[in-house]
Amino acid sequence: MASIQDKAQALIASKLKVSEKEIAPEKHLFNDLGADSLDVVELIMILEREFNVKFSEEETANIKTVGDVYALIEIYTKKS
Amino acid sequence: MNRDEIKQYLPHREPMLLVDEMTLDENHVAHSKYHVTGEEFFLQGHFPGEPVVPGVILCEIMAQSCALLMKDDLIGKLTFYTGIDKVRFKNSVKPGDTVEVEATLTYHMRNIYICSAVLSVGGKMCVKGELSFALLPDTRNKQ
Repeated sequence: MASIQDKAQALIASKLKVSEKEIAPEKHLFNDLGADSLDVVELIMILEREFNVKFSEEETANIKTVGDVYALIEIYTKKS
Repeated sequence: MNRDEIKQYLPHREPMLLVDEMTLDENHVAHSKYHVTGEEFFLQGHFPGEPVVPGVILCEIMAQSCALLMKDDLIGKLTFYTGIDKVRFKNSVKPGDTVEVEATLTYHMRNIYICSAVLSVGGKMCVKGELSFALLPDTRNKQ
């Protein structure tokens, strides 16, 4: 069974239309993976749906890297 | 909401204000109308002898209807497209038609809004799509 991180990695790659190999924690969503602000909002929407969580706007405002995404999902999936 | 009331929220003005009336139902779905008179600038040359409302104008009509969904957030802001997805054109719109738009807010985060909209004439779907916007401060009178 895929881990939460594996699932998130696949979702990020699919949304940003890049290879899963490029999705590493240190990768910057905007600078390295070519995302724009709408991509990130749509990614958050997808992650909320897939993990059945609702992130706070304050916390999503700080998302810059893939690692930030993983960390946020980890916090919220532990809560639920 | 009539055209004058719409102007209190939308920053668009003639000839690009493309909503004549709008109501918001109890499910927060916007229902708007625009009557195509045949005198609009975008019909000139599109096409000579066969006027058809351009597809991009139909998208703009849907966009303005979507923007009215977040009318209270529009005060002091300008609306900018951030994306148009899954747009399909099914039927054309011609002079004399009254277009009706049903718009729904799908997702909102910070200043970005994602909506879905269906535009129809006489109950026949003409366009559908997903549109997204950013609201940015209106600095026009603050120079």
